Amino acid sequence: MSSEVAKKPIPFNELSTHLKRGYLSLAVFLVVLSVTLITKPPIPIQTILIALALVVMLIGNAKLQDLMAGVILHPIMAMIAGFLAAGAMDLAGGFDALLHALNILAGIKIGGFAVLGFMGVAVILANIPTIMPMPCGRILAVALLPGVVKYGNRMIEIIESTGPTWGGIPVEVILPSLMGAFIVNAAASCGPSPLGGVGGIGEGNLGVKIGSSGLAQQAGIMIATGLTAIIISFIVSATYM
Amino acid sequence: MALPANIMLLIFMLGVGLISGILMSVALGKKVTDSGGILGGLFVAFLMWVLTGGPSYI
Repeated sequence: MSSEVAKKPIPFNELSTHLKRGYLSLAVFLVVLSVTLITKPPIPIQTILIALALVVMLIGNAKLQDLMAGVILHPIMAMIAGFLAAGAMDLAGGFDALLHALNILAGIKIGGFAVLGFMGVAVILANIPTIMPMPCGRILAVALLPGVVKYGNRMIEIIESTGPTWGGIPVEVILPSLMGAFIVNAAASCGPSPLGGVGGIGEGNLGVKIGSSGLAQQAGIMIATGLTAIIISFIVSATYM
Repeated sequence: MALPANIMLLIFMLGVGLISGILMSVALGKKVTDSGGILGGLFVAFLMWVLTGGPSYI
C-alpha cells in the first residue's frame, strides 16, 4: 500500500472550503438522483438536471463562465442541440417552409423540362448531411428528419396520382427507403467534417491535413446512401409481395 | 497530356454521383434512366467537389 493511501484522512472539519463544498454538491447530486429514481416525479429528468446544476452552482459559488469552462463537451450535446433546433423549427413552421421550398425546387423547368423533379430533390435531400458535414451527424439528422418525413409523404402522394412505380415497387417503400438513405448519410457525415468529427480526429492522430480525407469519405457515403435506399426498397417490397 | 488531379477527381465524383442517383431512383420506384435522380446525384457530387476545395487547385 502506498504511503499516500495509508495516510490518515483529514477530519471533515479541517477540510478546505473547496472540498467541503465539493462534498455538499456531491451529496445533493446523489440524493436528488436517488429520490428521482425512487419517486419518479412527473417532471422531465432534463428539468431536474438543470435545476440540480443551478443548485450545485450556488453551492460551489460558481459563475456562469466557470460553468461553461467546466462543461464536458460531447457529441451527444450536439444531438440535443439538434433536437432543440428541430423543435424550434417545427414550432416556427420551418419544416412547412422547407417542404414548400423543396416543391419549388422540384418544379423548376427549363424549356418545359423539369430539371430535378421530385426524384432529384429527394437525392439532394438525402445527401444534405454530407454536403454540409457537421462534427456530429446527429445534428442534421434530428434537425431535418421531420422535413424528410414530410417530403417522403408528399412524394407518395405525387407518385400515387401520376401512375404506377417502375418495376411495380409499392409506394409504401418510398418513405422507409428515403429515411434509411438520409439516416445513413447523416450518421456517416461526421467523418468528412472539417469541424472536428471522427474523421478529423483520425487525421489529427495521423498528423495529416484536416479534411484531407474528406472527399474520399464523401464519395463512399454517397454510394452507401444509394445502396441503403435500394436494399431497404428490396426488403420492404418483399414484405408487400 | 494527363488531366490535372482535381479534374480527375471531379470526373470520379461525378461517376459516384451518377451511380448513387441511379440507385436512389430505382429504390424509390423510378426508372434507371430517370433524369431527375441522375441530375440530382451529379449536382450533389459537384457540390461536394466544390465545397472541399476542388476548383481552388485549378
